[in-house]
Amino acid sequence: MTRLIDKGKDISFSFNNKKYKAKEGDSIAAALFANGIRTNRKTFGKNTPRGSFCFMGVCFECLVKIDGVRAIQGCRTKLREGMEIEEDA
Amino acid sequence: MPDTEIYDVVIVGSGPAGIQATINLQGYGLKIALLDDSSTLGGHIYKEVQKNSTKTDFFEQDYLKGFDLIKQINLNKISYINNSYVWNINPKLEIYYSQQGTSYKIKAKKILIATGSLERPFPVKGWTLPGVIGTTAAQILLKESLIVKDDAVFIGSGALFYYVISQYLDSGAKIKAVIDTTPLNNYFKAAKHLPKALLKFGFFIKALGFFAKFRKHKLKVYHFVDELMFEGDDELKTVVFKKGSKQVKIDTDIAFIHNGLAPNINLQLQVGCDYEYSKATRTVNIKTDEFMQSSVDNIFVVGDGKSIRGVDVAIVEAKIAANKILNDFNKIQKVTTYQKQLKSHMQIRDFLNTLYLPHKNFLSPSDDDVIICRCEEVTLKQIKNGLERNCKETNSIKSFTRCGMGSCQSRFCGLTLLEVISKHTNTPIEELKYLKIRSPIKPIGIEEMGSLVEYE
Repeated sequence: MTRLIDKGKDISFSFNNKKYKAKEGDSIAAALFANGIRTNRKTFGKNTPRGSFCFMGVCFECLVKIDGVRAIQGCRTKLREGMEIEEDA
Repeated sequence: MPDTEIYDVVIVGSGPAGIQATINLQGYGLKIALLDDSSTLGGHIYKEVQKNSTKTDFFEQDYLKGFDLIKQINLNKISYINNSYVWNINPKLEIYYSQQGTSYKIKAKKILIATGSLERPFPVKGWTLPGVIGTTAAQILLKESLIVKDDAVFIGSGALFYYVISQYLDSGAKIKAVIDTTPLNNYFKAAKHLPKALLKFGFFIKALGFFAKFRKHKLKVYHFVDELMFEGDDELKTVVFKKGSKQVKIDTDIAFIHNGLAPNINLQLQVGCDYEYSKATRTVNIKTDEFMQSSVDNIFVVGDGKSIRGVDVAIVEAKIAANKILNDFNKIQKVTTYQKQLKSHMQIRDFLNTLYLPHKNFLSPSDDDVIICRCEEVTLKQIKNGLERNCKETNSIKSFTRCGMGSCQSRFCGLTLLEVISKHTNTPIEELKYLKIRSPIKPIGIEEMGSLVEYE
């Protein structure tokens, strides 16, 4: 993963209790992508892993759990400092 | 409960069409609201163009010119309601939208829907594996966060597909391979539309530029691929496809896929706009008259949210609708339909529609294990099972299998479901009804929805 311009302010967050960094302005889906994280949820039917697909708010594959709240659209939500993100399962 | 705010015109979608309509409507003393689920103006095509307007190293003119359009909006003259998605419109022209977890209701005298497009489903084996991503997503990540992924594989066909590859190369990203799924036959079929299309000379200059760029970067391109699947245990590991009689495997952690575009029609269908199936594009399109009025009184539908014809047509249609609305409010006397401009921009469409119509294998899969409905994990086998039990149309298949019932509300399976039913019941596809789309068109909490109920 490459950032064309690496100037923006760093934002720290955690995903499944591991610490990561991304840039201010990133959506959660973009922040995970930038860190090479492809899986962000498991389906409630068969518990199969899924990752962000459309990044434009229509496919609902990018759902994550944030600060304990389930089913948040990662591509429509901006990353904030100190966010605790978990797999939606 | 506060009184419901009443607007003269509510515009849904702040892509090029929504912006152009706003520009043409502002300044006449009308009360206008512009709603969008993004935080910034521009839609997907001009996403973050305000922020990126000076980055001419990475972005080309077709994108950057969006900035000139956005600059013409006077945000002091209208209500710009961003980060908001509309989840219900009723024929009384009441609009319900959700903004950061709270829902609101407003009312309009006229509504203009400009919801643009989304990617057509690409139902092949393994397309739900993490790492298989839409090609427009590559573009969104580039524009929104200036992120590119080296050594990704691009798979698909279509004008947008090559455009994104070109943008990726401009950004300096390395591309591992391009798997082009445009069928060879399409080139012959499209040839008869070429003379008319050539009148849009600029388009061909641009296209030739793309392909020259691909050669310059020594891009590895596999042409005419019509069989394809993704492998990996929990995440994408390998793309497997057939090249002639030979099987080729390419390892990659990210594949960007594109099977063309389809109109984003859920809101239009939810409010009850009439639609029609187009065999030319194999999409469900919204019907309007020459003034962009849908079958629902006072609701206008323009641009790719009606049928896919690209940004230039979207902008002209927005002007036509705005004109008619101003005329209805007695602000102007004469209504223009811009027929000449429309006709000029449409010269290329027959050619593009024919050339980039997906291969039948990628419209209606033949492998029983392919997932048709991503959200509810419904396979082709389950749908065929429903068909055998006499569910012969979309809505009964939905009830029987849950296909189309999940979070995305059939946005990524509806078109495939039509193809599958048509193929397995020998019914002409244009005779099938699309799924019934109900409010809310995006998932929303019961509490949030309940907060708007009026008790009497």
